[in-house]
Amino acid sequence: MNDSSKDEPVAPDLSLDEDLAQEDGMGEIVNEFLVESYENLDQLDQDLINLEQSPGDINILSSIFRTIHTVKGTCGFIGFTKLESVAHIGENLLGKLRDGELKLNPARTSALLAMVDAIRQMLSCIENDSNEGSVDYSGLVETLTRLQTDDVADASPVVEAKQNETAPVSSTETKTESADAATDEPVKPSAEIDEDMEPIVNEFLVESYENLDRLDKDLIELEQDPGNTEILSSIFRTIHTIKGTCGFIGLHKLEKVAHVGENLLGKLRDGELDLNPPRTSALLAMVDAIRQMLGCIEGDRNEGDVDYSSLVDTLGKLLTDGGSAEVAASAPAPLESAAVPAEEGKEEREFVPADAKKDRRTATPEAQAEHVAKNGDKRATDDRRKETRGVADSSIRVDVDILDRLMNLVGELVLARNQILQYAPAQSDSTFIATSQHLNLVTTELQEGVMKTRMQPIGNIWGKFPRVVRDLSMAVGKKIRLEMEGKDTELDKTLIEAIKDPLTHIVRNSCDHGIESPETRVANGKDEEGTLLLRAFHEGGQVNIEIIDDGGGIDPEKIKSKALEKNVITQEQADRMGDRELVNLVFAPGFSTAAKVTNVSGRGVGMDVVRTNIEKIGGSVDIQSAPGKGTTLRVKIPLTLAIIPALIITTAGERYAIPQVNLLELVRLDGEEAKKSVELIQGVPVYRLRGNLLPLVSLNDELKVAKDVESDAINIVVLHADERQFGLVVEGISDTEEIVVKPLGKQLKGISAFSGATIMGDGKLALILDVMGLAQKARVISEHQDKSISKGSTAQGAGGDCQTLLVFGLEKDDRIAIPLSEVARLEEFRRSDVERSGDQDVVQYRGEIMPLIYLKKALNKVAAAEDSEKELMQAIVFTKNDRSVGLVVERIIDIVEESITVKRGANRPGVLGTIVVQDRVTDLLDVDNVVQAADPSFLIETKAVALAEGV
Amino acid sequence: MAEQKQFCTFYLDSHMFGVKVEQVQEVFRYQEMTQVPLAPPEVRGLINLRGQIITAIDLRQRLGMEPRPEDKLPMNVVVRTKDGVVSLLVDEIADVLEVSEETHERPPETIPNEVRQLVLGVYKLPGKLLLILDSEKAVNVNTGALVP
Repeated sequence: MNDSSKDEPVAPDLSLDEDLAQEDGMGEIVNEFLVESYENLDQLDQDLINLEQSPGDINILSSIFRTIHTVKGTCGFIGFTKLESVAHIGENLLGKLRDGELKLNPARTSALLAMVDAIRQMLSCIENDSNEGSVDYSGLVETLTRLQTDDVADASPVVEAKQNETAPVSSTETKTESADAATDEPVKPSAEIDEDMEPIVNEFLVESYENLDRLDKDLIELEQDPGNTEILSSIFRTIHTIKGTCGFIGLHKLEKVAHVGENLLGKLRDGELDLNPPRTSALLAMVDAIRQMLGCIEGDRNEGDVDYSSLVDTLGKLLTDGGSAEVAASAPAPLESAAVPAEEGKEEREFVPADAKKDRRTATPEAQAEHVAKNGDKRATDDRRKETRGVADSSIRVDVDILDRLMNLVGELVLARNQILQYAPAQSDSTFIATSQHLNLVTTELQEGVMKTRMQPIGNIWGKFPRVVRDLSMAVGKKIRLEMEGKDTELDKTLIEAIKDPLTHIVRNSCDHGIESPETRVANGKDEEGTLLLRAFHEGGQVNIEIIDDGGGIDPEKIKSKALEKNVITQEQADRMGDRELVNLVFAPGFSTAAKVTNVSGRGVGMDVVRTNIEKIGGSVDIQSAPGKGTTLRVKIPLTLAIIPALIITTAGERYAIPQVNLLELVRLDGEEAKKSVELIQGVPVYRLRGNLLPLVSLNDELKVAKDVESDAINIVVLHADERQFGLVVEGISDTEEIVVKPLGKQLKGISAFSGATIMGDGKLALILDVMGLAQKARVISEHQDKSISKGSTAQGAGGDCQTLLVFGLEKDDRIAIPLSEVARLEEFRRSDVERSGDQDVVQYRGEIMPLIYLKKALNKVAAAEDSEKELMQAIVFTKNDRSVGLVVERIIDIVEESITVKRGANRPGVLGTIVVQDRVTDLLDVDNVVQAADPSFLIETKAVALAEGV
Repeated sequence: MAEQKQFCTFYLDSHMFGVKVEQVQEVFRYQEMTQVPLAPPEVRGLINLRGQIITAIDLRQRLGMEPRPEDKLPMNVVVRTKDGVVSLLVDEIADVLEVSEETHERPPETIPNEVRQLVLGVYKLPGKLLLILDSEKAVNVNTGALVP
């Protein structure tokens, strides 16, 4: 605590260039400090938010306190006085909160968060320019100070606030406070640690073991080179961290030992004392003592019963030896500190049973273990200690680059394995075959293992969302509760990085646009507090992340008018879009629904970037919204990018890989069956897959490659892209294989049909099909298909006698249906293409003249003259006996599969009856009647005309 | 003293071309390529270069020259560009030449535009001309425009 910066007034804009220049050797320490502090700050954000939720949680408070304390302590040694002063004052406030003197309120939380931000800001300044920056934080310091004195009747905090100017004094005071508080507690120093503290304790242990190993080394080095301030600072800092943490966890005995050691080290560092062999020995003994206590803590969760008072005395003596009077006069802090050991010694005697009083230096580890086994928990055996010691040794930090390189190498290994496996069956040598099998297994395991090293829980990026949501809700005056499910869902680190920004954006959007203001919510009969739920889970080799809010939802009409206004879509497109398609327009470039641009969002660049970024990593994003109820955003991303299972298919003599995630099933149709079961709608081949229409896409056509072999059989790869299904017709289907995804050169990036390439077992290349891109290219992604499938499956489930219906409309809100089997095609005609022939409107269609029937007029809905002014006309083409007729309708709504039950008989010409489709009343059109009425010459001789054409 | 520059030279039809020797990663004989459907015509295919997948660009096509006779197999000049490693398909690979800056001249305005855009300059060698290819530009084949 007695840092180099003592008695220095707070100097907010003091640049530390000079200080740092003097201490070149500090560079490494500073870097380490930065890395550690950044990590700590992230944790801090989260903790503070948690704390606000449960203000009494001592665990969280301790964790926060400890973090700030560490930051503060380190700053002092390195010489970042400004940073130190900010952290210090925050620490004071936290100390009061922890001791229950003050209660946490939003103002205090905000101030603490502001402090975290300030620290972060300074850290980045330090990182970039090696000084703390010139920003003046005195306002923040004042706020924090004021918040400390508010609500407290006692005059002492005011005094303390003044003392804040001199960091060392008051920090020591804080320390003493915590020690005092500890003494007041009815807990004995060697009491079992609270189970809630377990994670903190474990973390502390891991950290401390690491530190102690370094301490040993440092102390020895220091003895060789007593003047080395860098080593001294490092030692000081380590001991200080241990000491600080002990206090919060309640390990007072350990704290005392560390504390007195710290005092000695402080003097050594300040040059008040010189390092001599007895002092080094004492310090090393202290390190041993700490290690021993840590062992006890790990083993049986208490500090053990060994008495360290003589060590404390020794250290205390060495401290006062030579110049203690002088020190006492000049620096108040060390004086106070110097007083502590004696006091502690007394306490020790009170607490520790007389028989346990042994000089720790004479207590051999064996004796210690024996002792523990006797007195402590019986589980605490050497075995257990070894096992738990494993906790500390079981994690290491590895450079991500190394992992990346490993991943690449594993990729190469997988390729080599694939090659060998391909040759193995041709070999007669059984040893070779066995070896290759073994290689196969090992490679697979290795691959899994390496993948695991790169996996991280999604909670790592969610961690910052509580803060984001809190700040946002404060800024926009809303009440939002953030809930998270599936924090542990793991995915590849690169993917984690890639979705961080898109997710943040979505969360911000949900807070800003999704959830309404408290007043609106109450007015709409909702809970004043909005809920934002983040949910992550694995499904089918993909990670699903859902961001669900219970806000106002998205109004498709609003989107529509906005999209029209911004020329994102044309009127015609808009009319043909369903609600869901409209809602998904928020991802269109240049779109922003925010009525006003706030500082949070609404600049119209967000969501399309979100989608682009998610699609870049092979993911997809979809939005569903129920107006008034809320919005659900679903992001799907692959688990990993590097190695994926894929189906290898061939077409036109080349192999292609289809990622398994997109694959649903394989269908093979032979000979006659192939001809029979593929039908055409609107020129698009479809296949009835268990009663559902599956649009077919020919890979040869899409890739514009010639057919390699003529075959009667049709191979259909049923794929799903963006929740829509389609069948890809390929020539041959090989096998599934693990493939290593390699990117394509920039020259080929523009081809949406491919997402990459891979090297096959024989060393040749195969392109990886981008199912999304293919689907978009073939235009199978449209709402209609999706609905037909989903509706179809529900109807199937009900076991009804299903028929596929084409639903269309003539007026604003009506619905008319005809069996899809009667429809030849759906066409669009330009009004300018309509010609007159006699009293009949006709169009030239496929080399023929096709009469048009305006259904509105035919059904006497309105006069033909009032017909829509739209340039494009929607026509349903019926073909009978080689003659076609086009029924002009206002809009095509959907294709649905529904069991038809006529609810009401016809009472109008042209209408067969009324049915219910998709829970809506729908007229069933009598096509023959209408056609006959409008064009008597249109012969209807054979009703059953085969519409199906073989492919 | 005039600055000396080294170029890796090769032939396309009867013309001699060169790229800066520092840009060339390696040269090798014809290797089988995997064709990429929908790719721009300049992209002849993909080559597996020791586990790395590189795009092969037909320089004849790129420069608007006559297609290479069927019976002649191209050779690869692999260049490093800021867009990654790319193989340039050429007719024949020649020597690494050291040329003097004194013989350098800007490409004449009269040569076909496709060529002139990709040529940084001309060196007048005894008996022939060496055209220096701008490999960055040569590999910049835009696929975006070709996809409807």
